Amino acid sequence: MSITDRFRALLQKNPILKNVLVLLLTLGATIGLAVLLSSVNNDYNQFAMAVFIMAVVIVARWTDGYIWGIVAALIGTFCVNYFFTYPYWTFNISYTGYPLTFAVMLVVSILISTLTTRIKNQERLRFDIEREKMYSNLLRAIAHDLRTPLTAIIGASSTIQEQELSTADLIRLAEGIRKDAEWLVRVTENLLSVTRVSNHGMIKKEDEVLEEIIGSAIMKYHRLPDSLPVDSDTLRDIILVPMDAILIEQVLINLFDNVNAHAEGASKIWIHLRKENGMVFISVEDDGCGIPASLLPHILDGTYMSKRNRSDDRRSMGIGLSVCKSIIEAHGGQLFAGKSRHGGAAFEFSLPCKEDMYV
Amino acid sequence: MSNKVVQKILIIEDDPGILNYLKTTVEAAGYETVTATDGNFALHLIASHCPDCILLDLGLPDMDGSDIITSVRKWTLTPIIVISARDSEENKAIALDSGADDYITKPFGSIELLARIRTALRHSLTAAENKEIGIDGCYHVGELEIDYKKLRVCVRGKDVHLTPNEFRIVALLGKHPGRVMTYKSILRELWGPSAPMDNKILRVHMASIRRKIEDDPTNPQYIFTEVGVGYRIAENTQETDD
Repeated sequence: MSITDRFRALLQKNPILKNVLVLLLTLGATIGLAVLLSSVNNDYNQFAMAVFIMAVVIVARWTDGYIWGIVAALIGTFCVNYFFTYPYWTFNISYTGYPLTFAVMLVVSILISTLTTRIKNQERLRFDIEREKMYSNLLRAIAHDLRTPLTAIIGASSTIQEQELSTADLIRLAEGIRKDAEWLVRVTENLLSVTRVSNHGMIKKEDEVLEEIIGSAIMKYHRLPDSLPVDSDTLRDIILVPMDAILIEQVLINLFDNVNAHAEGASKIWIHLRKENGMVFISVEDDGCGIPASLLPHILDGTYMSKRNRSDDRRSMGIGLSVCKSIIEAHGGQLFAGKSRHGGAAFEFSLPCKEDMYV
Repeated sequence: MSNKVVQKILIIEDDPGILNYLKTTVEAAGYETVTATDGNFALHLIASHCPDCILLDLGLPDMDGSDIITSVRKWTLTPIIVISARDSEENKAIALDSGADDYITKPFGSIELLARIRTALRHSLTAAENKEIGIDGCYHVGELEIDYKKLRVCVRGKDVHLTPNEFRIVALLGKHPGRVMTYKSILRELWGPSAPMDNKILRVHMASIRRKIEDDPTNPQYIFTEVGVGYRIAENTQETDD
């Protein structure tokens, strides 16, 4: 972690420290500026006042809450009186008109500070509402889609409890319960990934060796029923990719899962890797039916689901791809969809990586 | 197996649904079970029943899971398998470092659960060294051979030429087949207690080891990655009749 990163983290943890720092830096710079102006222009106290009001605006904009702006206004008024008005280097309000001038400056500063803060708050409120709306839409979609497998699970288990069934029927019902439950698990894992991305704002990255994560994702995918064989490249060099390993693993599992759900006729999955300009590109490809050209532009922007006609098929929900997209973007990479060299679909994503390590 | 005493498993789990599932599965596999729904009661049961293996859910209402592990470890080496959620790698690592033998991630199937119990019973902490290391000083799994006398690792009979550090990592894992070794415990074992906790070095070493011993490093047969927690070496799955 570089020094600037550490500093930023420290400021995020201590908002008071941040506010004090903003206040001191701004006022310090302002006094400097006022001194500079006073050396070029003799009639400077108007300049000084204007410069200090500007400082109040800046402080109010970059700190949290009213208090810091008001503190800046008070200090600013004091500074103008002390340094930049006759008699210099004294605090004096006995000259005619001075009390009024300073009272006006103080009031103007405080007003500006409160106004700036209020605008800032409103902006944040609007942003919150926007996000809230997005979350509730997502929640509604998920709740709706969870109901189908849950209904099947309740139905099957109550049948087992209440009716005399042959062993073959029992096994069939249990199998259905298991499949539905496994599907629910995958949905909840995606939801957990979403909270992991959105909760921290900043995801926790560690340098990982790419093939370890790919290997682990393949292993987990192969525990699922009907999984396909996966063939993966290995890069000659060992490269370290800063990432939240659990999330990138989730991306890979989702992309594999996606092949099972949508690529009809697919018999195998390939992972191709390449490294270019400090980015590593990971491509998950199959030899299935491919993505229809008409869907290609929409497949990653979320509008794709509504365009499908098989609305009752629970597997069409596809929060998987949008989760992948948000995880990859949070890592500073991109997700692309296209045609595979093996005849089916290809989903490729990029991640920023570090220079090669020695072996 | 006929004259063998039935092994006793203590299940510590506060959710009645999961407890019911665990109890049924473990009993159906021929073990005896004792159950506890909170930490304090569990500690009493461990003292009075001396179970052969403990299944411990990390999210208990009255006690922190790792506190239970620490206090159990003060006086017994009974294998502990921790049951934890998927997204808490840190808790898993803490549990393993405070003395748990293994972990299993929710949700899990019965096959996986029973396999973990068997592994834990076989290689409990009481076995300081891997019993499968024969008189010849070798541990064999699949076509991999770790030769503790000649300090080398062979695949299909051919020396793969590991560096000394690489050998020490593989040798350490080979002493605990089937068990997860956390990054921290490997680093501490290899470079001493004051070693810098730099997982990066370990990862690069491991990548290099994989290139030497695995046919396909992204599809490992011998050393598996437990993302965010550590590494596990493959164990011989055929049951040894003892």
